[in-house]
Amino acid sequence: MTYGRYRCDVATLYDVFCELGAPKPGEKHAPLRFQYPDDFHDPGIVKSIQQFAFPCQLRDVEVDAVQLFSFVLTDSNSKFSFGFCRYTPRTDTCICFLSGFFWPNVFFKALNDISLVMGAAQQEDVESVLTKFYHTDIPNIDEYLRFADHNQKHNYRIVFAEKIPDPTRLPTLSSDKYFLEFYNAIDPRQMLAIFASLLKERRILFTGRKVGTLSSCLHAVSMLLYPMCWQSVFITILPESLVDMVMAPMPYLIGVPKVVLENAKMNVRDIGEVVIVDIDEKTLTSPFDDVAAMPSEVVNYLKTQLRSQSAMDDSFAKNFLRAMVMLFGDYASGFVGETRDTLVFSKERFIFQQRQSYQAYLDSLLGADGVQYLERFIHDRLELNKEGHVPGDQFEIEIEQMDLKNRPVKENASDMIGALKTSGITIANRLQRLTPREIRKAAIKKKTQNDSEQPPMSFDNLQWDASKGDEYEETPIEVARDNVPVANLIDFDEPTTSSSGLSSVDEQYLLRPAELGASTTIPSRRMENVFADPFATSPDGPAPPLPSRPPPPLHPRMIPGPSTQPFPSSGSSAPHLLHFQQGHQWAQINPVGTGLPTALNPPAPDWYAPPPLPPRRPASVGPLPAQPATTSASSSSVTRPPPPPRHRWETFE
Amino acid sequence: MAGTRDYDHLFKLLIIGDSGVGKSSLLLRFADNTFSENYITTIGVDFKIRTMDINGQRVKLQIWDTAGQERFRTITSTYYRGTHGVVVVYDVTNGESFGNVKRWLQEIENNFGNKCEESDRRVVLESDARNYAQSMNIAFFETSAKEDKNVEPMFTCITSLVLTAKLANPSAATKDQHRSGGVSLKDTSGNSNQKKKCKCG
Repeated sequence: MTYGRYRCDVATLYDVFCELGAPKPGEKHAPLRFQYPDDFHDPGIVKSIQQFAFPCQLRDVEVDAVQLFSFVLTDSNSKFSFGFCRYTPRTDTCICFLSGFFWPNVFFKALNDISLVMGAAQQEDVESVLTKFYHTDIPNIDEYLRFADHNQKHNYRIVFAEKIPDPTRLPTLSSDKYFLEFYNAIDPRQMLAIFASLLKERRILFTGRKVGTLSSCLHAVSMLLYPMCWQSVFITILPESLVDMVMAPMPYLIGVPKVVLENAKMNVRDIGEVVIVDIDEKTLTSPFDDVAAMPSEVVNYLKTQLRSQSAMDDSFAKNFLRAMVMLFGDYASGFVGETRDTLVFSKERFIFQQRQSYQAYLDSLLGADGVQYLERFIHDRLELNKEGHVPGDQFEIEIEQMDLKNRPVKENASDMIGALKTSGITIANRLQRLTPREIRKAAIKKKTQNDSEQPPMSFDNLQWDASKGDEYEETPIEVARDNVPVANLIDFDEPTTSSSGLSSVDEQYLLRPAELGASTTIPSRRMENVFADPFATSPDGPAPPLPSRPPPPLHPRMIPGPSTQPFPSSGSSAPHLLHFQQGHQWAQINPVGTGLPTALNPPAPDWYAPPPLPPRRPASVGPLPAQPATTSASSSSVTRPPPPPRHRWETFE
Repeated sequence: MAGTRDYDHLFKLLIIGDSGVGKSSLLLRFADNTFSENYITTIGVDFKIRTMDINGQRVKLQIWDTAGQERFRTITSTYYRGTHGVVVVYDVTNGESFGNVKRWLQEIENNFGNKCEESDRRVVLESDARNYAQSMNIAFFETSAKEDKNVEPMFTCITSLVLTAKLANPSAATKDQHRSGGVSLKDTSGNSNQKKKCKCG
């Protein structure tokens, strides 16, 4: 992506690996215990790692669970380097890879494995592994990075293969740690508000106790803008010594560990107008009502979609992509010019051709008075067009699917109504009543769902008050969510101590020789380490565990009845996860069981409905039908929907 | 940061200009603590602090800089939204950097009455720049960070303007305060000669 902010100068798989001890209180830099390569050229960067890999006293934050988190460094050209960190409470140390590649699955896997080597073998072995890893050939996108190293004498063995993610594809909940954690941690209504503030390029501050969740949310949020790219300040984890940066007057996305924020004693007025998302408290405070400013079609669409349980594929990310398409999918209509060379973007022309309800909003985002990510996007697409390239990313595919292109201009104003009529779902109707079937479903779910006592909602943005009525109406859908065994996806291979030493390593390897075939599940399994079971014993045990490979996670929709069998026997962490899930925010969204069935109103997915067609609908469908769009009712999380025909996104790389 | 405020006003300024026009040296010259680390190459954003006394009012100035501004053809208004003033810098030895100033200023003009630009250049005649600044109703200073020439007056000028604007309309939000004043600084930094220009209008 030309408008992306990835470095272009990446020559090795990673720049540097560091092991750090905890800094003494008041110290800015964590003591460096080990570094590879030891002649790494930039001491300034190592200093930064010493600062960012220990953004605060991590032991205060997490007593017994390993934390995987990531920080971002921005160089003078505004390009990113990514720090992937693994904090071990037992030793109070952190190991970290810094790389120009945004391949979290690869590096977190490597960190987990290297931590085992560090625990079991000699320093020279660690160096040997790191050297080998450093010189690993850099795979292409969609290929596998394969790594194997072992030394029988010294009691270690590492084997893994991780798929290189394709940044032009949407992240899936099953394979993207960041998206899954974001999805789990943030209330849907807050997602909408965050998205709205993101579109307005606000100063957005996230805070939370766990640095892993915090940094994941930041990464995920920045990806919501796809295919556009956040252009301003982006700091996924802000170290204590840099807390003053939250006063920056320009747009930012910053993650501040809770303890850092609490210790800051900053004058709130000096921070300025900032949107604050508290992941632990599940609150969002904002001086703006950005959701209200968005076209109601987009808001309604997102509200509906985000409330419903997402499949483990990319449909969650697709919700936001569709919103982006609804807003900006017609961007090419603003291109004017006799020839390719004289092509320019005319804001006026573009806005004139948009639906009335979109015009004011789009006007506020475009041009010099607008937002930077859009300025970059338009600029880059214009350049592509001038060069005769046809962009072919997911955004463009979705535009085709939603049939935004080539629509007659005149229809725009009226086709919204037409679409609603023909689709048979008028919003008003949906707000008033449910189909008998929906009521039935709700009743069944209510019966089976007893944890109806929910903590009060804490989201305090104004616009939600107005819509409280229909919040309750959504209850059955929320109930449905509780049945989803998110736990199934969580933590299957957090290393456990095993006295069997190497044999279990071998076993682990033998049990997953078909990395390729099972590729869709492996990354997700590993990713869940953040949620690792604290009872699962020390993650730093000398040998990696995983006595047997758990069955692939059941997809919610494969489960016939609600919560009959939510957890497959997936290893030691299940009880913990059960607990986790019950405290999960989905349950909080709406007080379960308080809504009267007659008030139920779910513009919500119908789990039992036949697989909906992809949204091939007239341009301005506005809120798309409330089905989980591309996911079929019978699909499972292990079977991905066939990827849409993909054109090569030419400027990428 | 301070739990107890040791100042009456906190103003946030932005510094804008091509890379290599001497933004950072200008900031360093102005800042209270020249030994503070530079984070612009670490997190892409940095600021320097200076506390000033203007007509008996203690004013704390934060001057913010970000990395990679030159990659934008247009810097959109969201970038300035939270600031009290903008300092635009060019290099008197670099005509192009002055050209970019004009482009930026037009954009800022749309959004702010208040601007500060600095730029450095020798190719650019001071009279031209001054005239331009006057036409845009902005403050103009030709400065040299190296020789510490005009840096102080420039920042004093912009601070006074922002303060005046604020005092004239104390109830207004910061955004409104920006609109009422106008400061532009131009910083010219040649290889050996650094000059900054600040326009106040």
